[in-house]
Amino acid sequence: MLELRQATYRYAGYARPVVHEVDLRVDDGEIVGLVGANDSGKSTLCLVASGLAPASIGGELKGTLTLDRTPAAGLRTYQLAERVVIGFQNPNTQRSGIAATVFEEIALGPINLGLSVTETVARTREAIARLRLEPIVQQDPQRLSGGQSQLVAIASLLAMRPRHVILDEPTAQLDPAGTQLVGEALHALAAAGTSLLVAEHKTDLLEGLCDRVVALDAGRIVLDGPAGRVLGDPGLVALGVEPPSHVRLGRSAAAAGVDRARIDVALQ
Amino acid sequence: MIEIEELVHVYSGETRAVNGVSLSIGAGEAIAVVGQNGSGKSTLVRHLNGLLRPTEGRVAIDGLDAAGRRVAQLAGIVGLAFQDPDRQIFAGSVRAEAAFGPRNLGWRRDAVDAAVAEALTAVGLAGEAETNPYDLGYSSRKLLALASVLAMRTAVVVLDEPTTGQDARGVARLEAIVRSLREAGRTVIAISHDMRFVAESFERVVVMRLGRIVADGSPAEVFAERGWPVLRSTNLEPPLAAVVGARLSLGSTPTEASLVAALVAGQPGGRTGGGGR
Amino acid sequence: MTTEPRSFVFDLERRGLSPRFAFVAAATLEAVPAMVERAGVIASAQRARGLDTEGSVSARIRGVLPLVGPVIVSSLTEVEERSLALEVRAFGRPGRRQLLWRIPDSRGQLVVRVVMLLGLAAAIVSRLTGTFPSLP
Repeated sequence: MLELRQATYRYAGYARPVVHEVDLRVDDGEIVGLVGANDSGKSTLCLVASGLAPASIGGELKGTLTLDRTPAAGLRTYQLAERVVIGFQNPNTQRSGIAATVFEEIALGPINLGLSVTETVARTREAIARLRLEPIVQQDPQRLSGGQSQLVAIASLLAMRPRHVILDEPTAQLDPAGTQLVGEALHALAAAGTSLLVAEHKTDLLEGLCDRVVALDAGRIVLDGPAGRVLGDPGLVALGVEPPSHVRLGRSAAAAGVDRARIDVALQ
Repeated sequence: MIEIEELVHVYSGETRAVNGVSLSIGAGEAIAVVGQNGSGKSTLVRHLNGLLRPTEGRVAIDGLDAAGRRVAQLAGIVGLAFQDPDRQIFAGSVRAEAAFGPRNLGWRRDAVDAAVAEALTAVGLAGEAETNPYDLGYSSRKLLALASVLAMRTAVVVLDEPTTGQDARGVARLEAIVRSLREAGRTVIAISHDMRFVAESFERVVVMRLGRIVADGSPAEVFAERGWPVLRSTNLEPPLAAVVGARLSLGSTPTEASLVAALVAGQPGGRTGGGGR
Repeated sequence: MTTEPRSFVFDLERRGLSPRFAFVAAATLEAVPAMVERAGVIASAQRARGLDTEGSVSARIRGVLPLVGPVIVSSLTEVEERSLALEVRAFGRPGRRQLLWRIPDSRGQLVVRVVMLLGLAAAIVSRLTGTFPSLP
């Protein structure tokens, strides 16, 4: 379980916090979606939940982060890496630059954890299978398309078999097929007991993926509940978040005076 | 306005990224180019301003063969807005960045200023003219990169994945920008993964797969149920409005407006639907 | 009989080079192609905005900042995210790592290595003792 209690975080060198008094809990096997406008503090919240803020980037955190009942405060970054991983939007910055093939790139995390060769290979193969990367395992990671790079970046994190996974807009660069692949892999992870926090704009994706959704506005959580309820909340639009397609359509139809019953069936 | 004839582009002797594309684009058209990663979309549009040259075939812009013109010349006719703003922003202020394009075109100071002001207003950054671009967030920088191309007032504007990484407000702004470009009679070409954005903002959709065009028509034609196998062959799904319309036997309803209109009319139809106005 | 540079660096790590050192060496070797690619993308974007790279010398001089600036700035702004991503994957964790790579070390290469080491030893000995083998 990953839990933030009254988390308020201020970047080093900045006067004001970006995240305010956040209470957030992700249980084992739960997938929680995080939505909000681009300046709402989503990315910062992801960094705080990963422990990297402040363990790596400094700054001031008030409140607590607890990972499986262990306080994150005082953990070194490589100790955090044994428990929680975070993926970012830009696949280029997540590439190590030192692997000659996709297989080696994905294997780097387990290798860094000091695992045996057998264990490393097993975990690497598992991550490759999860994201169906078999066709490109021998390719040079520098020569992949943006979408492929992102899938490799995610696989590289999954190979570490973290208990907690945080992803900041993982499908930003992916086409619909890639988006679906990632969604399926995350489902499988949750089924295996991993807790997941996924920040995204694609509310259609989140609806199919998440148990719960949390909405952020100016660094504060303003909505927290079951995915269907939060994503259907009329207040979402004012927060700068696009509701799922069927919610939009349903509202437009209703606004035009169309009987909801006629389309609700088709919107399943 | 743009004639592409039997275009083939081969990278480093192996990959046929574009494998025989012929396409005719009229002045003032609004076209979306869609298809899975690797279908040749980016390669195709980079021929329009000369960044890439054909391995075989011909590209003509405004009647003249692109082959004989430098990129700097074509850039005055075809503006191309790239996906990653951080791979082009270099100026210390939003205003200076937006002025880069028009200045390269050799315009006089007052013409540059007017074009910059108009472009910054269109993307909502007029209030940040003196701000350092790196003090803005990523999606604002993306809008700045777009503004710097809009400021060149090119007859053709090409957008490479404009909605990627944008929140709802950013997408709404993009839709408004496309609308006003169309109203001004400029030709708009966009590469996008967002089928809803495509259906709502464009009048013509070109679907690519493995370097070839596999469908070309209005959103109503391309997103009609009989067109779904072609879309799926290139890993695309039709917008939800089209799916709902098909399930309710209302004909082809690629946009929200056409679906609602068909529902209100209470009978099958949905004739138009292409490209909001 | 050439060796992929990155594999070579990891072979050194297997023989005792610290992982941190190995990483820096390998990443440095990789940095050049990555930077070349980045510069290419930047050049395309600037040319698309009318920067003339095919024209007169003075035009090309004017192009220096728009070409070089984004390379430096984007490289630097990426550094923070890059280093975060490395920490997430436990680079810098103390202790030895079990590497996957094993450069095929044929008998032929082993023989060459031994002969070279012996030759080096002989050269050092003869230098120190002042005797030089003479050729017939």
